[in-house]
Amino acid sequence: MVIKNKTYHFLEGSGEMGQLIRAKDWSQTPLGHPDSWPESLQTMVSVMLNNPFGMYIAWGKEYTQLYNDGYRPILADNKHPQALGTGAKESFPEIWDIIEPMFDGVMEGNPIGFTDFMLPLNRNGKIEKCYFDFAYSPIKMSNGEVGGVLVTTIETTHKKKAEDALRENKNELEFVIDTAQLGTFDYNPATHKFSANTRLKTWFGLPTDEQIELNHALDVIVKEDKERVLKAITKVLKDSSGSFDIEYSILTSDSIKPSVVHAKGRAWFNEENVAYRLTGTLEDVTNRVWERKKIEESERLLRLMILQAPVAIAIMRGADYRVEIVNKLALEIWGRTEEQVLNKPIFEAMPELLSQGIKTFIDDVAKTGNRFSTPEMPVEFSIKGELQMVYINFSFEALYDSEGKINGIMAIGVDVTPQVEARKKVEESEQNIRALVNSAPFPIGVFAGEEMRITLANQSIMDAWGKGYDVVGKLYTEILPELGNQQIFDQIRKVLNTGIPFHAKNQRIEIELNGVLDVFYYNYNFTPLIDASGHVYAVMNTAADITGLHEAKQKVEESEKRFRDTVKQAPLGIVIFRGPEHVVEMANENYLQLINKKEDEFVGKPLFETLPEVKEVMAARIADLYKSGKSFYGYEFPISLNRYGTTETGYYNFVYHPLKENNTISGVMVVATEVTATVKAKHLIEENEEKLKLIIEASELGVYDVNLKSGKIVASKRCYEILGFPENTHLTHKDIINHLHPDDLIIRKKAFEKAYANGVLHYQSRVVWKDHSLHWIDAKGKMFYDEENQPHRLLGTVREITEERTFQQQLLEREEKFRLLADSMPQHVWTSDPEGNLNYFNQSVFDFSGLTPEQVIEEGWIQIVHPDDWEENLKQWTNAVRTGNDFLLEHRFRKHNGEYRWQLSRAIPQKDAEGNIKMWVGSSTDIQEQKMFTTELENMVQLRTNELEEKNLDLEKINKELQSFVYISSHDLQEPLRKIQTFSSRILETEYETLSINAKKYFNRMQKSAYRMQNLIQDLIAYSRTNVQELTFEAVDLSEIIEDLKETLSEEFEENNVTLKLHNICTIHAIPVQFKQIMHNLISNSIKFGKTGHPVVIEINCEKVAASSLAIGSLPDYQNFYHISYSDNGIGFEPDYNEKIFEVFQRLHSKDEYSGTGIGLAIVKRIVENHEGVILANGTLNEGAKFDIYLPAE
Amino acid sequence: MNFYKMENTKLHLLLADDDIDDCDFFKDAIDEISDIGELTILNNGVELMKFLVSDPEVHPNVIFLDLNMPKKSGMECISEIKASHALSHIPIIIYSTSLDHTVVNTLYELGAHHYIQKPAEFGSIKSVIRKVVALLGASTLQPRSRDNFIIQP
Repeated sequence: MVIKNKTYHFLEGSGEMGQLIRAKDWSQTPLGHPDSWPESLQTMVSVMLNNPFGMYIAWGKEYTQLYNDGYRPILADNKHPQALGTGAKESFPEIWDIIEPMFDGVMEGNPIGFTDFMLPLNRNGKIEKCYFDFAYSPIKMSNGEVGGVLVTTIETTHKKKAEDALRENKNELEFVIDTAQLGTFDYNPATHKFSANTRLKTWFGLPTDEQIELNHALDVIVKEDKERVLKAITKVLKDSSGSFDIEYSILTSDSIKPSVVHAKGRAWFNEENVAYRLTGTLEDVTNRVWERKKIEESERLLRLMILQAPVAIAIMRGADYRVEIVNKLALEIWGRTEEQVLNKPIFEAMPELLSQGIKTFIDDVAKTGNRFSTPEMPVEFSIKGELQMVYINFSFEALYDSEGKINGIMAIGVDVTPQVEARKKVEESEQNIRALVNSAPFPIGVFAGEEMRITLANQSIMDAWGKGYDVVGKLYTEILPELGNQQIFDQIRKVLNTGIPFHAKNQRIEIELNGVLDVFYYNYNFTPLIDASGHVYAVMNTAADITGLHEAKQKVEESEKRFRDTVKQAPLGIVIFRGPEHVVEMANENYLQLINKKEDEFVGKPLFETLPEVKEVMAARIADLYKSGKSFYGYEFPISLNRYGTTETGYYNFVYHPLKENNTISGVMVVATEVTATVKAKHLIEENEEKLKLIIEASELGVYDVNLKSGKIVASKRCYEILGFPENTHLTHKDIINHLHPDDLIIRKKAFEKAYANGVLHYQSRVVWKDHSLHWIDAKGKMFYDEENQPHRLLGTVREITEERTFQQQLLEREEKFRLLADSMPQHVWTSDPEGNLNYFNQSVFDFSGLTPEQVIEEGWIQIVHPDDWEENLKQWTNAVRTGNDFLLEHRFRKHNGEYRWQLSRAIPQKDAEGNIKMWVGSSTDIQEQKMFTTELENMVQLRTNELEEKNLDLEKINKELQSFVYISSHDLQEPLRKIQTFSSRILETEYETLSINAKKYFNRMQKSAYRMQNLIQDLIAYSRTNVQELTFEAVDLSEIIEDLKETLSEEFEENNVTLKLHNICTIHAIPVQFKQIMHNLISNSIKFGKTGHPVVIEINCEKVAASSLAIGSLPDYQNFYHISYSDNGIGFEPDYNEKIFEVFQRLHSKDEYSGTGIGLAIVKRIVENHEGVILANGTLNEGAKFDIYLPAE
Repeated sequence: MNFYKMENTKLHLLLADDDIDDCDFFKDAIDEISDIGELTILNNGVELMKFLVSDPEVHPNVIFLDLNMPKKSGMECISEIKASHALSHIPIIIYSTSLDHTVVNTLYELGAHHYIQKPAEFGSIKSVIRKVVALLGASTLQPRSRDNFIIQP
């Protein structure tokens, strides 16, 4: 049977639970009939039923449950409605072990709260993980005991699930970063924890599944870089404007070579400007850095090469030819130190060059790029203050940058001063010799060339010829035509041609003197003159009068010596040996050098005695030569010789030539030259060719050579492999064509047509192998033409590019995939080229706008945007494209039905490894709903703000009015009152005696009334003043205030025998004037309400207490408070009045019993509240009053 | 020439107050204190300023100035007097019913010498006047100071 509860106001409330609670027969529950419910429970139930949030009460020892509509879903249908009125343990057996201790704690006065607290609730027979924000607070009863637990709760299961989903999202993001080949990191400076993605951890050799200390990650950085990285991290965590951008090397324990990584990041700062996070990315740049180092190394090598070159080199740059590099030899020539010239304009460092025309040469080279060079240029350099002449062979070369512009000059020079000087000496001595020859006592003449031009003729020869003295420069044949039929000319020509000197003794010569032929007898010689290249350029004629035989003999000897010298001067090695022992008769310097022997070791000795190592090769050949009389030629003939302390094989070109005397071979002349270097170079070339062949074979390239006329193919093995004939080696052109993919035949045909026209063949096609697999090849070739300009030969390479082609194919497929993906997205997606021209829109753009792709491309995408947004849109987009910053804009797009909807558009530039923007990818998201909501919200906030402002103005006005009222009160009310007092004091002074006893009594009372009214007015003013916000809080020493008051109230203290006991006195934080007022009013009260006949004893104590230790409900939110306790031994008051006594005009006694206006304590309370403090009164009748003041300590 | 030398000549006091009762109390008090000197009473600010500028030779030794007066308030008067080169030397003692700290501070800033809250007891009126006379009778007038700005009866 259901007993309907009669109507209780606290059970009023809408909803299901209101009805159920009202309908419940509570007398059957531990709570009993609602009549008997404690007041606090009644209040709380009323609050609960009117609250939209989930609330739940567990009352009493049994934790009898009441709850509202908001809480009801938590219980689900399996617990509700049985839970109402039953104990919590019955309803929640599955979690009772968790919540019981909490409830017990609350019953002891300890509230508790949780966020996202998980409870495995049995809902509809199924255990579900549910998350709640909970607060369990005690419900206090009037006696101060805790009567029950109030649970306020919000279910956060959905929020929690959303967070989990977010975390999953983050994982997805990490996957994307991972595929982008980047390492990412996230460092928390507060905890020193360092987390990173898998890639980075792999690079760093870190465990993959945990956060680690930063130091552990830094261990991997190579020693040289570690400090630099640490510094960079410290810097970026201090400076909120800086960014983290650093390259360094890492070496993990299991890698051999260090890798170079490029880390980029930024720190995140909170409001206090303290960094709380450092995030960023890491890129492996080892290869890039390695390339860079290679370039640097090659530059360094070049520089080193220049510096160590055996010729003087200097490089100059810029318009003023600043010396950039100069090597030691150049410095030696210049007579300068490196400091004097390096990085200085050359003409500033060596001003002496300016007057020598050098600048003109350099300017010309810098302008035209034409090389300038000059031999034996005399240049004066200022060396130690003195000009010194130096002869240099030098050249200026223009240096070019990568764009072909001249960016410098290289000067190369060789100091040839010693040579030039030596030559000058030679020239000088030649002149001396010429003079000597001229004055020689025997005839000397030199006839140059086939024409026999006289280049030299001494006095003696001209005397002998008798043709005058103007002969030099004329032809021998013209001067002495009479010698033509005396074989003289032939003799000379023979000498010229053969190089073999001609001797004649006792020769009869007819010379025409004055038209008559005279006969002379001469011994004479025709000697060939050989120039440096071994060529006979002239014939020297010496002669002697036969009368002087001795003289003649001397001439012969001299001539022979000259011959030998000539032989010896020859550039070829020449040796002559005679006799069966091959005794060396003569060897020239070149030959001696060839065999590395000195003349005295070799000449005059048998050949094979000195050179035993050649006997084996040469003995037989020499013997043959003696037998046959035929010369023996050797070409690149290898001979082992003991030279320079070792036996080495040299290569020689030589002639063994028989020397005949009277038709018998008496000796051999050998003319030899060493060609070892040439032969070795040739061998090297052959070797290189061999190597090249090997390389081609080892490489992936196939090489082929086709004879186009015969169709014969010579091809490398690899070539056949690529074409799919690993077994075959000889194939015709036709065989190959048959294996080409039929679809590609046309490609090949066209390529060949082109090749016949321009000589270059290139095509890519597929070949079908025997196993029917398809392979891509890249064939290149060059045509060669015969004399009739017909192509007869094709030389080229074949490369397999199947893999490359596959990659390309995959790339195309991927792009197709992206397009499919983008088209299926509900968001608008678009891309743009780096210049900001939009070049792709996904399907969603067309669906939304109702436009065709052609319309968007032809008429521009801007037509989709609301015209009012055009200007801002174009401005932002241009700006983004120009700066490379992200594009972010809210604008409206026109839907196909004409409706405009708000979109949030965002575009991010895609950059390549060098940071150049390759494209922009943008998206636009419909934010119409959010935008509308935000606008409405903003309007509402604005409305509220306006209302508040109006209210504030009103309040200020009222406040001002109040102020003027107070002023008027203080002045105008006091004035008549004061006059009453003055007049009465006049009467008392002058007319007192004439007053009747009654009049005197009335008079006295009138004065008292006036006095009381004056006090009343003054107190009222004081009370109203405390309202004024004077926020000058200071440190106030309590004892000083009390000393001050003692003085002010000294009369009262004396009259009433007051004792002040100060215990712990501290310095507090208060408005001094106001706080003084508090103490004044309290002490005045204590004196006023002292027990008659008893001395007044006041005790004051002050201490600092923690807010948590205080059990005062209305305490404001501060951590610490000053607790000032004030007590006296006066008449006190009943505890019922503990609160009432603070009300204005509240008096507990009649005016006649105790004087006072009833405002004093109201002022005290108001001041305490001004300080955000609390004052509590605690009276005990006849035992005294106690006041506890709590003021915030901060 | 100055008729009112400090040492042995009688003083010339001036009271500017529109309240007849207060003027009477003040006059009675002066009369009862024997032999102080001459008292001029003016009933509003306009009269006061007229009096002060009419005869530059005859200036009071001290002005007792009420604040709440019709036509021209005490506050306006003190500003004008202190701004005038000829008058600024005359010491001014505020004589007012109220004692509002803000007002008191303002008056000190404006250059008032002392502040007296009109006493309720007639005897007290006499005693504050005696104190003022004693201060004026000293060989030189003490410079102003915030500490003894308010004269208590």
